[in-house]
Amino acid sequence: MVALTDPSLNDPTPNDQAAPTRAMIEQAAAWRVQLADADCTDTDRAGFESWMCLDPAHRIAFDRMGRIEGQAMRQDRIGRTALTAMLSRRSRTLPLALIVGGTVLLSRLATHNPYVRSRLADERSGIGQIRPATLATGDHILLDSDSAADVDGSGRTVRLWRGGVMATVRPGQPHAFIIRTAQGSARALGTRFSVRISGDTTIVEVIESHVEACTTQSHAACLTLAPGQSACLDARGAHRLPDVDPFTAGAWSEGLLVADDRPLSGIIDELNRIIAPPPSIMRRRILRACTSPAPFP
Amino acid sequence: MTGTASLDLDSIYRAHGGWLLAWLTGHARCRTRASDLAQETFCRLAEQPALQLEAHPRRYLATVARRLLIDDVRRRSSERCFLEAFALHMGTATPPAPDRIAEAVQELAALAELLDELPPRVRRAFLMSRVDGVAYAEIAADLGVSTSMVKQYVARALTHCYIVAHGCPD
Repeated sequence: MVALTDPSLNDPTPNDQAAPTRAMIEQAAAWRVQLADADCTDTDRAGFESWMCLDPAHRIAFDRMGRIEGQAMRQDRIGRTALTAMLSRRSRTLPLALIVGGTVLLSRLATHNPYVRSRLADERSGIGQIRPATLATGDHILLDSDSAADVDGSGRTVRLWRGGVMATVRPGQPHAFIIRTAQGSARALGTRFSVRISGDTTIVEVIESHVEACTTQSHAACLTLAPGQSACLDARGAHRLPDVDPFTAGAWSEGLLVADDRPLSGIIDELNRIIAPPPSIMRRRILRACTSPAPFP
Repeated sequence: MTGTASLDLDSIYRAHGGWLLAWLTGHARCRTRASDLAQETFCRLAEQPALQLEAHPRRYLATVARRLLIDDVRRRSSERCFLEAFALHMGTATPPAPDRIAEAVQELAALAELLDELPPRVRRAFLMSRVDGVAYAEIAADLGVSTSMVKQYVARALTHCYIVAHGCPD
């Protein structure tokens, strides 16, 4: 089922053979419908259990669908009314949008829309939450605050949609471990490294061992990074960033924010990422202006 | 960004900035919104690695601006739907903080995106079953079809949502 030996790493569409097929998706839907039926029998439930065990992709399809269903099920009456209005307004405004949008095929965008994908991802963490996950292969990933990632059935490819992830990968496994983003991929054989999406760029930092960082572009560029090295992947290619201190790079995974001669703006950005300020603070009025005690040089 | 690229952007702004603002004002029907969107258009442009708009700069600018305009229209419309629904159910109670509204609207917009293309009856069956928690038999009576048809509708809706969100290899 797994075929990640090395198809071209630079292929922007991953060779995701573990992805549930259409038939599996339809079966998952049928099971979800049947299990929610008041008439569901023990025989049905036993049938469902054995279907789930038949293929790891069955569970992926079933769980992903559960998250979509969950999003619908947790709507209160306000959400329900708003949703109905949005849907009817969409169908009314669609012709207008199409005139404005010319040949833009709006619905096709949804599948690859990182926003939609990140809200339905397999692994998600809230703001201020660091979430560990153990993969089928026994490797560990740690999701940083406000992050979302999908893990394929083989447990060897992680698709990061939002935020950051640190991977601790056991050495000596037959297939490379890969983290992909819209901008590129980071591939390792036994190592500890982190990948973070920041706007339109992806930042790869290596803590232990070596990682190969490649862009998704057709003229793919790759860099091999050693511990303490860091790279940025963007539309222009793969670039080396200044070296990082491996301790500082991994500090977030220990719940630490390390500041050693860093500009305040960077620390504020990081705090904003990990703390959701209570609305009461955001509304508080500031009355006093302070000047910096040290004179500016 | 390299010096040449920023120079290009600068000259593009001078040559076509006024035209873009007029174009957007015509479409957005609001000057403040139009100037926000024009600025956003140039920000997007500045992020491009190489500016490939020498041949048709206005066509390119309009493409970017048009996409931003559609997003903006959708977001505002979704927000209006939410605030109207809130007022309907909660009367004159204070609406939630802006960040909570934005969060709720984003979630609803993602759901609407998934359900958008479903046939009306399939969508209705799904919403009644999963959001309102109505039993299949009752939905069947409401839609005037058999219970097994309702189950097929809901399964179809779930399959469709999954494929829109996650894609399908075959």
